Amino acid sequence: MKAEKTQSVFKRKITELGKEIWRRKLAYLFIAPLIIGLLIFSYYPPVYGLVLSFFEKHSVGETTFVGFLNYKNLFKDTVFLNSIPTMFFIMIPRLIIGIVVPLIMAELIFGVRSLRLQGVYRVLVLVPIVAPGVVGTLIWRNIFDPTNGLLTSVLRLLGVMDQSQVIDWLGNPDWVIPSIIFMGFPWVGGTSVLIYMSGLMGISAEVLEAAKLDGASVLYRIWKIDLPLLIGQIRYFLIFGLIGGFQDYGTQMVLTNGGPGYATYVPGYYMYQQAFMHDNMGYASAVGSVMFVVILVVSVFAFKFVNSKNLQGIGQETI
Amino acid sequence: MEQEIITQKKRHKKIPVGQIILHTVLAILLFIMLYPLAMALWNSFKTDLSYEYTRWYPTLPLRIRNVKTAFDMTSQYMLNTVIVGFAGTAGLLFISSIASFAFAKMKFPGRGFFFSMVMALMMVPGVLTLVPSYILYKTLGLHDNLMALILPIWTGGCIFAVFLLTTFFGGLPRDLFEAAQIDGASLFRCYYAIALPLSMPILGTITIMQIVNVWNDYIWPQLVLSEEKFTVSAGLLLTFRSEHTSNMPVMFAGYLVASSPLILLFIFANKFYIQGLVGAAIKM
Repeated sequence: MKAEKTQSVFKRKITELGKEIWRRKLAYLFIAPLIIGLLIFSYYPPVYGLVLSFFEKHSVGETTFVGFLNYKNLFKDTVFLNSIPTMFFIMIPRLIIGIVVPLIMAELIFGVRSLRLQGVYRVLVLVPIVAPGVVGTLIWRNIFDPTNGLLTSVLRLLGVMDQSQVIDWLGNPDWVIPSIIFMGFPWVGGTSVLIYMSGLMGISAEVLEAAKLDGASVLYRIWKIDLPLLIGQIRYFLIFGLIGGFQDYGTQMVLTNGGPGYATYVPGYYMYQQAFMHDNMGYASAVGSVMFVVILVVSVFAFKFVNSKNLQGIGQETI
Repeated sequence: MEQEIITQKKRHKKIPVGQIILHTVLAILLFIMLYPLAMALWNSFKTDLSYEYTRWYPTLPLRIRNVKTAFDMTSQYMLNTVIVGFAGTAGLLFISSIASFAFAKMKFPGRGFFFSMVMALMMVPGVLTLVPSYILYKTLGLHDNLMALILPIWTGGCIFAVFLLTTFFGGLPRDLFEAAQIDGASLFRCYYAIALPLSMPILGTITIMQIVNVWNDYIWPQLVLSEEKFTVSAGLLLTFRSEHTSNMPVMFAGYLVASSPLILLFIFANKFYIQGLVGAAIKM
């Protein structure tokens, strides 16, 4: 009797839901192109990638199931194991630089009293985006030229290096990682500065005025007022910096080829090499899967660590 | 004592030492940032010989021929890039804006689920999808077809745009749309006649971000296309990557030519871009 009743309630709910869905069909029509596209081209590949990591697959020939063999081999593979610390040595300094320096730059520009000049600085900061990333990297290859590049010339001028001293910045295993981190110095350009500025401009004028009247120093104001209000932006840069940093191998592709030796091999570059130079698609997928799990864990941790709120925007004021 | 502080403050107002230091620091930082770019610019117009001796500063006469040589070497890549950028961005703007409008302004069962489904993809790294995507596009016969670059923009490329646009639409007041609906406007009309015009700055930002992405991408184009279909960055690497490029000024001219559409875009749209970014409140 009771089961029947809950069943009928359940049935009624289903029909109600069906009616509601039918009534709102336009909304589904609106999101359909997005959702269908994402299912095929964004959801299928990662699932297929995870599956593929249990197979031996080459571009021609048969695909055979090998169980955990790829993973077993991977954790005995010294090139892969050594590429992990390399990745951290490159990623962590770049991540810190990418979060802190644009913030300092934004505060500097925000401190400019003339609004007109503020506008000029904002435009100048964006200028580097006109050069495609590859061009930027190739220009840095030029800067790192050991015989007469900009870096060597400046250091000679300053007397830091002897006139005859030659450092092969990208060819010397001791120098290559510091050089990669140094790339982009002074790191002040780009979108990040503006994202911070938008946060700063959102701080109400009264709060800033009050802080000033209370005699708060600039550093105190930044620490106590600006930083807490910019935590959303910092979290954004942290999480996407982590996700991007773990898998970035652009510098390796353009500048170093993972060299000298294996000095700049990172897991992402190793995956690329395995898949497209050695044609081990299954093994490469295992590398990708391991990185996926690591990235997921780290970004969830980072998300919790910086005390997340829900994503904003959805459904605050529906029609 | 108090008097002293006040006079000190007054003096500060007259000679803004802080402001002068601030401008100096900013100028130095921006100079260091821009100098390598400027160097690439003036070296595009030098002969081999003058590059050898005067690379650190601009000189006359300008050797325009470098640019022409470089243009002939890269024009096919540019054309490919423009096609991909145009088709990709147009589709992305439509697909992402209409979906974001539904997410932000319409009520329907499963809305939260579908939205999370889109946002969750921000956490899926490219390293996991590169190999299977390569196999997928090959299986679908999209190899060596510019669609192999356009489809990823229409799908995965939309994710970040949806993130930005849903936040933006979510902030628009409801009354705006209610009034229109009372006047008999359909939801689709609310979307294209009210929401879209209001979101022009943020759409401009998304457009620029997307075009810059197309310009910058080289790993995926190198994988799925043959050389004559490469986009700009992949083409540049192909043409100028060899360690001992014989003619440095022509190489720099190549960089300049490859950047020129972005430079134009920047000159005309930087206001839009900055407005959109500053208004977007990108945070988590």
